[in-house]
Amino acid sequence: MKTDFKKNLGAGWLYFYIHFITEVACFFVLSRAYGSSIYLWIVPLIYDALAFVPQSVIGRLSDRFPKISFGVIGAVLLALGVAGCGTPIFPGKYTALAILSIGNACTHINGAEVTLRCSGGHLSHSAIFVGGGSFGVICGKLLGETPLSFWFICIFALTMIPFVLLAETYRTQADAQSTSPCAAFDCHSKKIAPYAVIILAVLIVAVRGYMGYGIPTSWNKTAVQTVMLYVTMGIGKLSGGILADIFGIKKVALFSAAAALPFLFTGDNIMAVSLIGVMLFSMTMSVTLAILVSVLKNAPGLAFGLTTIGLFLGSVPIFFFKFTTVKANCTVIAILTVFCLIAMQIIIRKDEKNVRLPLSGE
Amino acid sequence: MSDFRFLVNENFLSFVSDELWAVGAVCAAIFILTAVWVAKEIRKGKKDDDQC
Repeated sequence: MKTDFKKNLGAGWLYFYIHFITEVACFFVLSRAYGSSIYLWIVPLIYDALAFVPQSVIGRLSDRFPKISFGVIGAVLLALGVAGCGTPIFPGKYTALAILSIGNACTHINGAEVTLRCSGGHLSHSAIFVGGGSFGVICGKLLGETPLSFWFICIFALTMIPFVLLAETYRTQADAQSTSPCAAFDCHSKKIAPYAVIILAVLIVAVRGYMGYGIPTSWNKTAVQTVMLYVTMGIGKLSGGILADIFGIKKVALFSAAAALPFLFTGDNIMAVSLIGVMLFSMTMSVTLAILVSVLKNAPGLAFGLTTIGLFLGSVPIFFFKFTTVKANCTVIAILTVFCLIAMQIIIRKDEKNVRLPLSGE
Repeated sequence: MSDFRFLVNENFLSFVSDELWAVGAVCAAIFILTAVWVAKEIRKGKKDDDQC
């Protein structure tokens, strides 16, 4: 049964910070460690593959063995990965990058497990957790351009351990209260086969992943504008989950995806218009996670892993080709958005009339 | 003018082919494993629903 959506929001904010540090560490290394042209192409691809794809495996392990703290393992691996990228302590070109990527995957999975299990079927917790990543990406990129030492980031990564341990108590509490803490997630249509719901949800994530790179932003030329872009993305992801809890998942998913389109198209040269589009577009992120958890109620880690596989599949094309005209780019984005709208209309069930539930104890 | 262009050429891809094969193999193995686990979870969920 669903509880008040404000309950256990602390877990979301703890993981907002942990996710922030994770992305700072990863993007500091990515922008600092590999400067030459060949590495600039292959390193982000390897990083994406090793950070996103194994999350389904780590998620499955985390579902089956809840006593293993993947958050702490992730923090240690992140610190080792950053240290290894700064000084040659590991053999091989990509070992440190692989350790860093797996560390990233571990903290993400633990964040998903904690925030989904203690949320009582609400999206706010996981939305706050995912929102922290965008702030971390831009901070990491900016810090990578300063003369800051790798060791500083290494110690910074280790500071997340107390926060991870604190967040872990939310998961322990949720697991003690129910044998299936994610049973309250019930937002997918029962008229569609579960396999089809999963395939369509992963495709929506992949489309989102691709569109995230394909959004026309000719206005983005300075560091301040890039900061604005990432901050808006973070606020969009965060507010998407909170609004879905207040107004209903289906309404927010369909409205944000459809309303983003005109802003994204007309905002190529106008920052303010474009940012509204980016914010609306980012709101659908937590919705797809909720759909997958709704189908895989006993395996939230595996469900989160599916979303990251979708993100990886969506990001692969951008490594190989790009559209050279805004018209072609916009046409593809429009077609993909229509696909997302139809798919979401099919797989998300109708919102309940009174979505916002009374405060517990009222 | 073409509406899109490829960002990498054959010479470049052959230079990084070992890395690409390794990444591709790891990803393919994980995709298969994930599909099997998802199928198992769905079957388990159906069984639980039937019992209810």
